[in-house]
Amino acid sequence: MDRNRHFLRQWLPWIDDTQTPDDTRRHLKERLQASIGGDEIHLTIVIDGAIVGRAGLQQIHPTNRTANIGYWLGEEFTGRGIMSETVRELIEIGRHYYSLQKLTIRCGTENVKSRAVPERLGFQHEGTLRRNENLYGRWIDHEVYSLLLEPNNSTESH
Amino acid sequence: MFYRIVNDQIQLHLTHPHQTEELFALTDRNREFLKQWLPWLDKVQGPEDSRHFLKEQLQKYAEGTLLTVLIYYEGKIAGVMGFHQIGQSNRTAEIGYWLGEEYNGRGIITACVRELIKIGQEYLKLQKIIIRCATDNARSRAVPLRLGFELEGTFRRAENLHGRWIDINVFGLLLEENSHEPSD
Ligand SMILES: CC(C)(COP(=O)(O)OP(=O)(O)OC[C@H]1O[C@@H](n2cnc3c(N)ncnc32)[C@H](O)[C@@H]1OP(=O)(O)O)[C@@H](O)C(=O)NCCC(=O)NCCS
Ligand SMILES: CC(C)(COP(=O)(O)OP(=O)(O)OC[C@H]1O[C@@H](n2cnc3c(N)ncnc32)[C@H](O)[C@@H]1OP(=O)(O)O)[C@@H](O)C(=O)NCCC(=O)NCCS
Repeated sequence: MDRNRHFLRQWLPWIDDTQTPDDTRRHLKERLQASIGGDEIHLTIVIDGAIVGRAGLQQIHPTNRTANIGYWLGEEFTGRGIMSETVRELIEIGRHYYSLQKLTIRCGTENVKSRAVPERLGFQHEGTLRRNENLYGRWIDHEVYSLLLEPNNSTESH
Repeated sequence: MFYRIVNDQIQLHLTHPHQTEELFALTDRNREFLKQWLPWLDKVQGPEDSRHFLKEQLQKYAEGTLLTVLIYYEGKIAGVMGFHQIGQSNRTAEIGYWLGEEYNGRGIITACVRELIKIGQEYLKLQKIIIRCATDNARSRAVPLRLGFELEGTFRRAENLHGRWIDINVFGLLLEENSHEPSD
């Protein structure tokens, strides 16, 4: 993470809150606790024993059966299809372990590499949320993508 | 109690436990009407639930996370509205509202939302206001459209309302359209 500070700061809001290994330790504990609660699941992506990034499901909603996917990679691990493969796996996890009926991904409008992930995986564009985030003093619009996991006419709920 | 005047007929009052009986009666009378669009009616079974709501909203107002007001029309409670989820870093809040069926069709909510926008601008320094409506809730969608909000997206199967999947329209109103830098 520290090595990729400059790269990640372009798109992620929490970089400045992560100054030391202790901050990372606290973050990992909190995320694991949230996973136990069933609200989210955060996974570390490891290739040949080395950590290359993180990805997960957030805001898992039990009645609506929806969740949002978030992700990042170290810059040196981009361009190899790692995130697309990871998101494909997260879709299966959402479907089978959390019985989700819909997944969303939100990307900064100018974050072309991030937008390419849902576009590559057949997500549909649902809208543009204007000035949705204040990222280090710059307003960011978000593109919302979604994938429906059940046939559109199903009405049953859990 | 503390209120803001919208016009000769309408006032917006901060929530307070003394409104319990009247709010519960309005809710109970409009149960079937409201259930078409709102998910929480089954959680309001008796006056105690309304009292809990009124207190909780006042507490959260004190914490700065939301602003809920009761709409008084000619001295009687006609509905509830407010900003839920006031986002501090993106200075964005979402408006939600409901009226008893007998108070529909008089322009009450349109006037109240206009007033809430002013409050959001003057006191909460918001840069953006959002309204979310089910795509088939024509009366509700007409409110942001009447007030110049823009449609930003349609979220498919976004909510399960009493066993039915609903699609949601998101409307946004930018209050500082021309400034490019966050000003806080
Ligand atoms: C967003 C982010 C994860 C995307 O990384 P990425 O490497 O572009 O995405 P993928 O791992 O899916 O790889 C796709 C790339 O690998 C290539 N690739 C190679 N083999 C591939 C395969 N088997 N399958 C898919 N793509 C493959 C693709 O052509 C594409 O390359 P291109 O961008 O040159 O066209 C990364 O840029 C990042 O972490 N950014 C900073 C943090 C961030 O923005 N997070 C998202 C916030 S919403
Ligand atoms: C959504 C809801 C608040 C809208 O109520 P409403 O009375 O239609 O809205 P307004 O108060 O803005 O009134 C508009 C109506 O009053 C009429 N009107 C009369 N005087 C008016 C005035 N001065 N200004 C604007 N409209 C006026 C309009 O023509 C319109 O009538 P129409 O629907 O017959 O065209 C109400 O239907 C409701 O509570 N529904 C159930 C709960 C719900 O759906 N909440 C929203 C969830 S997203």
